Amino acid sequence: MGRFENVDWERLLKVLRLTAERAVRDAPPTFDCGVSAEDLVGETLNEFWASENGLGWKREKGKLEAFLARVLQNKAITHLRRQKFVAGSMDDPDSRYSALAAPEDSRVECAFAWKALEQLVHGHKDLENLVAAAQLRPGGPNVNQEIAELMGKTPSQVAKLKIKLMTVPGVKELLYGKRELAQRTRR
Amino acid sequence: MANENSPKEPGAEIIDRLFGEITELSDEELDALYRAVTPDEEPSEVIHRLAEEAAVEYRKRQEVPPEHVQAALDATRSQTSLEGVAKSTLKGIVEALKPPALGPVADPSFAFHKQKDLTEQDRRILEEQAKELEEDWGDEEHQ
Repeated sequence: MGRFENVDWERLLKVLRLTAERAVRDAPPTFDCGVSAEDLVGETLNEFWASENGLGWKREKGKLEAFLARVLQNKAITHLRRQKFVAGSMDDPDSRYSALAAPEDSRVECAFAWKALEQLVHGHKDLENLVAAAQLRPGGPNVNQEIAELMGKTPSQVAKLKIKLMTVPGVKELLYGKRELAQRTRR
Repeated sequence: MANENSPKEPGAEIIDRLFGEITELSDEELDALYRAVTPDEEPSEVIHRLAEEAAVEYRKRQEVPPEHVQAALDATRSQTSLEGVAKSTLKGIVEALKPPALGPVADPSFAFHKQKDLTEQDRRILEEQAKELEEDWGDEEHQ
């Protein structure tokens, strides 16, 4: 089997689905990226399998899941650019994309969402600390390590707490519910 | 997808801060998030279905599906044994077996666990046991 012998396909699908969810949700709120997360995953995998050399992926290029996640993100951007709303590059600060979502509004929305999360975990001391620690970090890699240092726990304990967090009623809906649900936190 | 300065949707912002890069998540964290998005979807079934569709396209052209299509099909074929099962699947099975069984207990010797008040059924069991003991002791006394 060579190159693809050790690929964990189930993990790969989960990575692609979550990347797609994030890509669709990060799209400007006035339109929906023109495609569903499920479609993005399907398109990406179809393109990969339709390419006889697997889009040229080699082990030296990193893990297949990360490689295909980038392919998926590029596809999402292409879908956005096809829409008339997006004039010019999305990286261009003067483009309509940038104008669609005012940073101030977004910051307020995020603050309300964090508040809603704090309310959901109220009474669970360890989860309250987890949410507080997560707000102190800027994002990016080494999440568990950074949160663990802030909480005085091990990265493995932090990982377990996050899994516990996902079982708290209302958290899934807040994080992955429809956009309108998330926006309800503002009220 | 959006650039660094692009404002994020609130849910996405929280997920970023809490979970970071999706590709760096542990199998357990990834599974917890995936189940939040699609609770009823089986990843192996989705992969198998999509890979099979791709394989059909190759076969229509009288071609053998290439190694990356075949690898996905082989890895996600319905399992009749645990041999060759992906590590994440095995972990999932173990995790599913770990928690204690909840719900009604058929064995009366465990029926009183974590119960503060006696139920009617408990009383009946106790009465039966008392009656049985009385009969046994009664028999011994007569002998």
